[in-house]
Formats: sequence, structure tokens, C-alpha cells
Amino acid sequence: MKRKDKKLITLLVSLFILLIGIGYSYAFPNDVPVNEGSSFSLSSIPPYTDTPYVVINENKPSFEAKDYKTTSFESYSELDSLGRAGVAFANIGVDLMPTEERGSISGVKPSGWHTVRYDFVDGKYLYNRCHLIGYQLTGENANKQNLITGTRYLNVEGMLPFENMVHDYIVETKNHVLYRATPIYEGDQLLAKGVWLEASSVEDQGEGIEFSVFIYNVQPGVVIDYATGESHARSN
Amino acid sequence: MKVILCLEEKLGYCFLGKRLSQDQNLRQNLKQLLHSEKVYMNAYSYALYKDYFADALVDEHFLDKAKDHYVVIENVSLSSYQDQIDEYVIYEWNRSYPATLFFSSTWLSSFELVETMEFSGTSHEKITRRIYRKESSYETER
Repeated sequence: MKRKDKKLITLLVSLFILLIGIGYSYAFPNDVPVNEGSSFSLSSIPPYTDTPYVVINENKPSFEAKDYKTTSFESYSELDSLGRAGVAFANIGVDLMPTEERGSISGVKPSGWHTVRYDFVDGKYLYNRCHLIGYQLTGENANKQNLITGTRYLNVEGMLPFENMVHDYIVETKNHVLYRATPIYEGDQLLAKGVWLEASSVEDQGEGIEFSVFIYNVQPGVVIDYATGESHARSN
Repeated sequence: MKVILCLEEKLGYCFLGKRLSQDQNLRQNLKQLLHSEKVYMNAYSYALYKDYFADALVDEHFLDKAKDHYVVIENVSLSSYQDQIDEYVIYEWNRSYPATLFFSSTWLSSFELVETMEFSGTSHEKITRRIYRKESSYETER
């Protein structure tokens, strides 16, 4: 066999292996590295029953020692090729908190967005434009990199209590809190299955605030197609 | 025993061993209420409350030792002490926080509300203080 042919065969084999690898990660997307040095396994999350969140990783967030600094910052991921928001990460201090009333965010349509109403849903609308890092924490309002399509239940029953706890701790102590919200998608679905929310207070090394929870993007009484965001009332 | 605890909107008071919130004005308000009364608490609570209660009695088994005195409850369960409680001083944050330990409104079935007041916190818009006392046996039988 000529040297040129050998090279061509090697190239084709490498390409084949690469494509197999891509296909594998596409077909088995549940154990994916989502943050530096950590991964998230959706298959380890129990199905939703009646509480808006579950504690994961023994409630220990996966921040690194180098993250514990007293300088505020916030960073948001670029939308992916499907228009989905990714990890939002911040070190929140009082200097990041908003000083103005929140404006309209109705112009943003996050991936999987549908305007749909159910009479039994609090506020009637199934979906909210759900801030990954709540407006009360960093003042990011109509930032499409900080918004996902989330159920009313995810937004109000799931995420808001944690945001309130972090907000009030920072205002009271003037300390910083590392805060990371990671929307978890399955494969190429447009709607996140939930949000992995982690936080740890900096100056007291997690003594005041520390949690790692997965908050379900569900709405009791509604069946959701996570691939598209379409939904219908659950029949009894 | 007279119990002091702080509740969020769904009556939660602790999330996985940690307090849900804190407020300096609340501790000051409590000091004004108790003056020099003896107060029991554990080391976790003392780390926060020592600014106003430096002379508190700190013990990890404080619920078994407090008898008729005040106790600050933050990260311990109260469910097995209900028959020993004569008074509740409840501070309401008027906010929703995540919680894993909850107060039960049924625990107040033989108590009466004797006082309600509201005040602003250092980091909370409105804090409500309610004091409940155990109804006397005479009133219960009436």
C-alpha cells in the first residue's frame, strides 16, 4: 500500500472515531461537564414528586478555592446554536444589586417559549421568562443570556426562595456570595429540565449560605414536552 | 419554656442546619423584649446573638436545661418538646425562604395570641412579632 493511501485510511478511521464519539455524546447527554471541574448527571435526579427542588452533591456546591474572592463579578454564557441560555455565574455583592425598579422583559423569547394559560396556574400563565440569576441579585433584566423559559412553579416556588435567602444575607452582612445557575437540558431539547443552583458565602466560607440544589422545571397539573415547550393539562 | 424562633412565609425556620435569615434590628428588638431575662441557646446561635446576648447560657442540650426560661431556636427540632412550652415569641420574616424544618400551626392550638407588633429590619422591609401564651387551664375548660 502506498504511503498516501495509508495516510488517507488513517484520516478516515480518525474521522469515523470522531463521529462515533459525537454521536455517543449526543445520544447519552445526561452526564455532561457543565461547570469547570464538575459534571451533572440528570439520570441521578429523582423524578419530581411534590417538592420544587432536590438537594444534590450532599448540598455542597462545586466552587473552587480560587473562586472565593471579595471582588464582585457576573458572567453569562453565549446562547448555544439552539438559542439556549447556559451557565450564569456571579460573585454577588451589594455593588451588583439593582438600584432601579425592574423594566419590561416581554421582548425576550427564550428557547422553548410559548405563551400559554391555564386557569389553575398561579398567575394563569404557564411560562415565565425566568432569570437564571434573579433581578434582585444582579440587576440583569432583559439579558437574553440570563433568561430561560421556566414554569411559574420553577420561578416562584423553586427559585425565588433561594434568591430571597441570598439577597437578604448579602444586604444584611455586606458579604459576597458565589452563585451559579446552570440550566440542564436533555440532548437538544429547547426547554431545560431544571436548574442546578449553587451558592456559597465568601467571607465566612459558606457558614452563612451554602447549597447545591436541582430545581425542577415542572408545573403540577401540566404535561410538558421539553423538546418543544408545548404542553397540555394532565388528565386525571 | 419560652420559645423564640423566626419563621418564613410557609412556617419554615431552618434549611439543612442553617438559619434562613438574620437581622440586627430583630436581635435588638428581642433584647428590648427580654431585658435581662435568662436566655438559653446553642453555640451556633450564640455566634450570631452574642452582640446583644453576651451573657446567654450556651449549651448544646439547652432544650433539656432551660425549664421556664427563654430559648432561641434556629437549627434544632422542636417537635418533641411541645408539652414543655408555655410561650412562643415568633418573628415572621414576611419572605419566602427554602426550609427543611417547619413550625406547625397545630402547636398553637392551646395558645392565645397576646401581642402583635411590626417593625422594619436592617435588611427586611417588615418583620412581624407575635407572642402566644398557653391558655390557662381555667380558660381551656370554659
